[in-house]
Amino acid sequence: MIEVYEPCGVLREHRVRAAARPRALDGLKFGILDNNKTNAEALLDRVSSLLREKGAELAVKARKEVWSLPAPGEVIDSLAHCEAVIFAHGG
Amino acid sequence: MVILANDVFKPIMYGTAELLGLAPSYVDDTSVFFPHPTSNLDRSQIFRLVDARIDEIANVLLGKRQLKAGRMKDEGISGIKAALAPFCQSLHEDGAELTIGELHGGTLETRLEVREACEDGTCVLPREQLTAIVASMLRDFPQVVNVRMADSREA
Repeated sequence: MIEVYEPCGVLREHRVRAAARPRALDGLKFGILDNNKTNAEALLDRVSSLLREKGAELAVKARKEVWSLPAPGEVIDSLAHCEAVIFAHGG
Repeated sequence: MVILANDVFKPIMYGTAELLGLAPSYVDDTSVFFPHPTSNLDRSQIFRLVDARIDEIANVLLGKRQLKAGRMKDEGISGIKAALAPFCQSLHEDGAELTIGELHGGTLETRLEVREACEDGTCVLPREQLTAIVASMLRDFPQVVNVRMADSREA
């Protein structure tokens, strides 16, 4: 007798909902997360400068030390109280 | 969250979003793209890239993708053809011609002609897979809801 295994697994759907969007830029407390790649800082500096001109407030400026790895928990925690986060990665 | 990324990372971002269980529209709804590469630009060039996109970034931040809708309308069928041009060229090299037709009510009409050099038609993927590939390549074009492909192998 040959034992045959059923190769089909159980599909578990894992859906995540995006956070609600802020209503206005005026007074918005936002954070920026730099992935530490070349020019990410310059790009985010410019974005935050222009958003501040539109009334938003830069609350947190964070950086990942290793661009290819997820941001450490303490970095994510530091951004948790922001109403929005702008993340740049590129190369 | 707004993600600023170089355009070459789009496929990775779509794949990652799917793996994370995010909605299929997540990348489109949250990302603003820059032409790759950006690492070789000086600070003033980076600033100009940002300046040209700051309204789009603000719109994405607030959940209003106004700029994208406008851009897509302007691009029309020529933008779709440009997006598919490399794929059409690769099919051409494999022995088939993919012609991009009209866009009506969200359905893009296409036609595949498999040449004689490929008599049994097996040098080109089946119509169903090609249609799925084309639809996937046009995910940045919200005006394309459906892709229909007429295949000479089925005539």
